[in-house]
Amino acid sequence: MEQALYQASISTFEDLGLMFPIENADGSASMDGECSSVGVRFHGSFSGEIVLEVEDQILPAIASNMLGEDGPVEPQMMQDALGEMANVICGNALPAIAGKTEVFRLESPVSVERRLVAATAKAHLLFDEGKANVYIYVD
Amino acid sequence: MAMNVLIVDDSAAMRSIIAKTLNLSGLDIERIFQAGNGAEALEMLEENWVDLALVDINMPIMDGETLIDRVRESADFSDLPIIVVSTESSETRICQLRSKEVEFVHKPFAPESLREAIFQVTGVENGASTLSSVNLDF
Repeated sequence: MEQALYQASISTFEDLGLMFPIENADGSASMDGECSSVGVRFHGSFSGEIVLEVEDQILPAIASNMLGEDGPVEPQMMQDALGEMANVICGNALPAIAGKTEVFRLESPVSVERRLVAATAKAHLLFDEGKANVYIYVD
Repeated sequence: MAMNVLIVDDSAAMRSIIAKTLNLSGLDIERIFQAGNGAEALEMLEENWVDLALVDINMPIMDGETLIDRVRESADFSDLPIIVVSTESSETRICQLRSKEVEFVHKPFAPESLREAIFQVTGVENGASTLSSVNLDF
């Protein structure tokens, strides 16, 4: 599950955000500064939530790259871009985990608070612009 | 003939990405309408002539599959060309959607795959040779 989550996260950041991870030598999930988190709940043969957490400093890069904008992107649009990133990660991770014939229903992305419980699986990504963590919580 | 295109997606960011892709595609686009869910899309279809709809599946209020069903049942626009643009990866679900006479483009999509799907459902190919040479910055 962890490998599937990692691969889905990397390919989404590369294809949608044009951001390519660099080696995260210590595999650290610790974040520097303020963070934003969005969650996408899913329902199917198993249910749960995928949470994408990023350092706020990389939000402008994610949004600008996704939208093809050279100038600043409005905060609401940055959050929306982050939600879409989480949505695509979820949509690509679930079939890799459960198989391509399983059907899942995804809810719209929403802002979430950091959870205190341990994730079922997690992926840590390091970019030139900052860090991102992706968690999957199975109910 | 210039096309009117309706983009239906609850993400404003994704609507913007799709609109930009269309505008850079070389296709003759007259107007792009945007709706945040299926119910909004139906209202726009009632009030405007639309040649092509690009529809997400997972949306609040009215999802894309319900929208497609309502369109296909409609007396006024049952033959509207529809492309589903979604993260959906289940082969079972994609097969179900294709049975509703729609094309399917998986997110994240390459501009070429969207162009190819548009050609499949509309037969419109103008600009097809130029899209692959356009450098899209997303």
